[in-house]
Amino acid sequence: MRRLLLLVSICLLWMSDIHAGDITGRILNENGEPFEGAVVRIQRIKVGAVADPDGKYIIENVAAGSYTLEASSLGYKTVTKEVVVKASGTTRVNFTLEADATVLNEVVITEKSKAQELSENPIQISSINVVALQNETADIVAVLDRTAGVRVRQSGGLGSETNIQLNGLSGNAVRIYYDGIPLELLGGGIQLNNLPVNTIERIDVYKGVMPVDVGTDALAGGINVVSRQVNYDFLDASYQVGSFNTHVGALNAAKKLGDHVVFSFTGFYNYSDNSYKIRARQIANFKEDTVTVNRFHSAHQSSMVQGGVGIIDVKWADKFSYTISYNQRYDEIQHGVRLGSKAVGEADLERDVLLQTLQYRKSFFKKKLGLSYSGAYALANEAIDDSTTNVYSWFGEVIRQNSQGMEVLALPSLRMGEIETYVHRLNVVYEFNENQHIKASSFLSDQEIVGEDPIAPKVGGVDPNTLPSFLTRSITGLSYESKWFDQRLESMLFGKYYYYEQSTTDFRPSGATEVFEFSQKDNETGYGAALKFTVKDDFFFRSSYERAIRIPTKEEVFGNFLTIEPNFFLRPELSSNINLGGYYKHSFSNYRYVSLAFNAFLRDQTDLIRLEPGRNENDPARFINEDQVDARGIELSLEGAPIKDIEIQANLTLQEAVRDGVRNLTNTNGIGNPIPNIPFTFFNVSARYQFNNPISKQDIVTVFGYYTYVDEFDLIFQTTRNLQNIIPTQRQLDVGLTYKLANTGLNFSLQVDNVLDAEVFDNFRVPRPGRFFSFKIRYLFQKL
Amino acid sequence: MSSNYRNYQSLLFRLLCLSAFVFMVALTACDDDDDDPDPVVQPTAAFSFDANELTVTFNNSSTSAVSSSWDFGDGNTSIDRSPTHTYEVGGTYTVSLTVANGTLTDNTSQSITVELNPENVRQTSGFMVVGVTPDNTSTFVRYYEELPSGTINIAEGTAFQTFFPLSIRDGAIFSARTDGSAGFVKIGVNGNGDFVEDGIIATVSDQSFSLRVRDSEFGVFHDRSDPNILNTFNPTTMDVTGSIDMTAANAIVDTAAVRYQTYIFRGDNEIFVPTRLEAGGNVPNVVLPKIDIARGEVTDVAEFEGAGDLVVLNRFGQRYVDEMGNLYFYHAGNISLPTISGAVLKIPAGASDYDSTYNFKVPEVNNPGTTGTGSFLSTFYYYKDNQGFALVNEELDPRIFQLVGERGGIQNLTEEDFDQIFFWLFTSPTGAWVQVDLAAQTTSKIDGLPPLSPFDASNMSFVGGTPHFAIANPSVNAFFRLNEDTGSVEKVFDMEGGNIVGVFDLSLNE
Repeated sequence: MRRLLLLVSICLLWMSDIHAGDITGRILNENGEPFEGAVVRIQRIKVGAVADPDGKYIIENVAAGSYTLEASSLGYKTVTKEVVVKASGTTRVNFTLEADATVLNEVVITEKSKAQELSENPIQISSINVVALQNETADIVAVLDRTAGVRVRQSGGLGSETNIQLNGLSGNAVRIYYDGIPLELLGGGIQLNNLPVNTIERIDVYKGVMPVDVGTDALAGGINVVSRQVNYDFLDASYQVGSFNTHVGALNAAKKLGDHVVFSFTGFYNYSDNSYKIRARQIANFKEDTVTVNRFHSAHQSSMVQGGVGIIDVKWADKFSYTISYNQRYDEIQHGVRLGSKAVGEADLERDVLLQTLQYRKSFFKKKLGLSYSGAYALANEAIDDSTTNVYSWFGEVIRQNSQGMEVLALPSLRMGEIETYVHRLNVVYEFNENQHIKASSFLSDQEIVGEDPIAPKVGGVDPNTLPSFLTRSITGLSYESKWFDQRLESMLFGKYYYYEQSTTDFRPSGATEVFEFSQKDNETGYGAALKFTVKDDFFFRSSYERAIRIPTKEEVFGNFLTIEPNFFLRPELSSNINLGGYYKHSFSNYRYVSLAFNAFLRDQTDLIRLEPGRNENDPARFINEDQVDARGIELSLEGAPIKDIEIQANLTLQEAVRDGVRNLTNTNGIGNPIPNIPFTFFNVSARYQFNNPISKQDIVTVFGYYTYVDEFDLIFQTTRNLQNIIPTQRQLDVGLTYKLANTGLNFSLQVDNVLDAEVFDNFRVPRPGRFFSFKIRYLFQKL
Repeated sequence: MSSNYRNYQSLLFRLLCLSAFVFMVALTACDDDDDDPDPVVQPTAAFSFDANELTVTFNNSSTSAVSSSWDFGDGNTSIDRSPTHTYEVGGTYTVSLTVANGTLTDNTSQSITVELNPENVRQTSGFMVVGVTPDNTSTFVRYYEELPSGTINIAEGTAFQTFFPLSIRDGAIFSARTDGSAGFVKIGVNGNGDFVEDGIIATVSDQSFSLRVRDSEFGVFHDRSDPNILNTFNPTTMDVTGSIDMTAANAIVDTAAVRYQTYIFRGDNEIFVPTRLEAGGNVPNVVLPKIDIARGEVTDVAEFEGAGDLVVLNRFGQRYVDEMGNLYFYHAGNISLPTISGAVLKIPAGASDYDSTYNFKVPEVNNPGTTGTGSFLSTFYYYKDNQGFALVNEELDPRIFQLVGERGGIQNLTEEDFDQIFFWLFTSPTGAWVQVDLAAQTTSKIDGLPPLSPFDASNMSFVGGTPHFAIANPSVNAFFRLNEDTGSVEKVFDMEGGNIVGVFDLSLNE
């Protein structure tokens, strides 16, 4: 054994560069005991070692130069030290780690979390480590809303439609992925607004370009929600109860069998009456009264159960996992996309989805070649019910009968639809050396939409809903990533090929004698490049350019069969983007720091797809192409810890998007006008303070506050201010407190959203809830 | 016992009070008798005033005056000591006060200026100029005291989500509500040139677009939520005053849901109501029920058979009845039956039914080449002396022929093909306003007037009683006046910032 060690040492010595030295030292905990398992890493080159039972570590063959060394462990504060490694010999650095109240009972595998590493990718990413927020009652939407350059607008309470604004993009232009698969292809049961925070690990926000192995046909940005995947036993259960009869329960569990098999279970249940107060206009006898009422037909209910099995580190796979889930949701419709004078009292939407996913990952040739596949099959059923003759007042009373028998649509509907979706994604990575690798990705999705509506008008004796529609898209990408100048400069070049094909049936023709079918197919090429230059640790610049294409989604083409009508003529949207960003962080003693991030973008878009509300308040909305749009903006993010245990964060976004041309008219009217219904200026500020309970010393208390400000913006284009067309300035303050009981895995939190009960609005001036109380209890057990 | 005692005390107290009063009155009377013989004193006239907009409160500070006489300078007078007077219109007035004491008088006068708060002023003349963004999302409206010239940027005007003028009366415009809400609004222009909502009528249906005003006291509208009821209202107060049962007209069309396009007032007692089906339905006839206002019901229903679907743009105002009482209405033609030409129809004075011999196919007369291939008439206005104006297609967009050819005939066109054809009809400048002679049934082209789409939403108007045309096409965006002496048009102004929709003269009542 000794001889073997000697041999290895000699080999290592022989292999080592003569201009390299070793770093060694000892890591102790705050009681002066050896800290086995603590990790030491060299920040920039990401080489590290683990402390042995004596707390000793050694990092060998480090090229001469200056480095920042980090020592960290789960539940302890990371300590950094500057070292100078000499050409030969050993540099000795010792660490003492102190327990960190801010780290929860969670696994933080590396000292630089995955979230932080992603934030330093050449592609503009900010990654939100959701793990730290899981004790709060905030949902994913609220978490995203507090991120630099992200604004989430929601049309109501729990379960309502969300519209994300990112990098000057909005609506479906911001693609949302769930583990790398576009969320809209998963059947619609899982959405950002109903996925509990506790079921996910982190949210990656991409600004600029998306890597070929994550992105599909996204334009200048996207959001990837990464679900929790662990390989140890744990149980995480939480239950939240709040105003308006809101209940959110989530259960996550995993059980490891042997060394290679993990079973997992995820489930959630959401319910809310969403019966918050709104000011509505009630019409009687040709007079209009503004009345304050509780929403009475706005409930949302959704649930999911998912079981999975994962196999790790076996001969034939580094990782293989299969999940099967069933999810369902039920939404009552209170009004159309705008809040009109008409209250809807019975129309609703129901959907259930059976979803199966498969993931496979394996590397070959000493990990030089990596192969991964992910696939999904979703079978969704949805049912629309808009068939009552009752006409409701805003007080929830039946005031009249409507002989035509519907509330939302122009004709009654009891449509039952079935959507079958296949998604495949294959990624291949080949690493030439540690500084160069190529990635290839192929994405394919296929959807078939069919339905029936027993009360819809027949066309030539045929229910047009029964004729199927198809949507297919395929995106193939290739990228080359390399690092230069001692890994200070990172670059990426990529190209993408887009193909789409659709054949659609007009399921709701009016007065037609035959069913209309429309088909189109086309292909496009996209390309781009990204660069990142690291000046030193925690100080870098990055920039990117991309010509990107986005293919309309099923919802954009077909609408939602209720408040959004179809547009079978939608064209793909095309965009050329330039992004420029930078990041600087300065650390002071005693865990204090300040960091500044900025991002600027310029974008030239053709056929921008956006939701246009109907001209009249109860009209359906639809997605349209905006011919030519120029967008630009800047985002700033400031973060810091002025004193230990207090963290402050502020984000500011200034942006504009103006109409640049109109395809069908040669005169220049409308050019230079802003695209309506996009906020120009918004910022948010948040602060958290964490301290040990003075009475029960082990318990940790966190108090936090979030303040969001959105400047007034216009519903339509205008140069003089007409109050009818304005979405007023919005200010919202949320405050809360979490209490973590030591050694029990139990945690409580109390949160008050919109403390000041301010009037806040969403898409097209639909009011959002006022003051909202919620209480959450969470239990976490884990065995590492 | 004790209660009696208290009553007795109370009575005693009252007696004491009474005697004190009598004593004081006697004393005062003695004083008067003492002053009476004094000589008459010269009065001095003086006053101050406090003006609140047009209402002035005068404070008479004259001395030794027994009577006052005011002349307010606008022809009104008063003999109150300190009167309050409201002037009809703002301006500078000389107010004189004459006071008298017996035969002695004094006089003073002051010049006072009164004016309305501009926010409470309503213009009764001037022009509302309207333009729209090409995507129809913003409509801009600007007020001009005088018709503008040169180039105006309409985007600097007030933006509305919709602006759909229906009638003008007493300087106010009646429109569908401007923020997408259901109903109608009355919009005036205040002294600062800003638009002011002067009342609304809220309807249940947000698709209610038909309303017309006959005079300051009477107007009609339809809440599209109920096909059987029309309502009358008072345009001054915007109060709904009554309803008219349309069941009889509805029954003739023989379908549940109809809508009413416009209201044509003939005399004081008749309203003709062009009736068509709700979206998706076609009536093969031009149906014109007549309401007898005194009876509050439909008394006749005129039907012009075989005209095809009534594609008629719901335009502004009146202008369907000539000086004699002949009513001229029209239908657009039929996109799916190109053999049917759009035409002007006639209900003779005194009659309630069409003159079956009068079928003035304006587009075919204008260009016989359109016969049988699709001849459309989307708007018609009566002018005067048997003259009117009509917007027709001069030719058919060749792409339409091509598409019909590709499909192998009109019968094979799909709904979306029709949508495409309508898109072409609504966008390509293949139409024109033509002048029509209703007696001779002839048409004449208007010299120098640019072409426009035959279904263009821009409008002609009768600013100052003269025909004017708003034309927006890919190369022209301007307002034109017809010079009736030369028979050709002159450009009044160009517009930028939006496509011109029209100019509305607030001094006209239509």
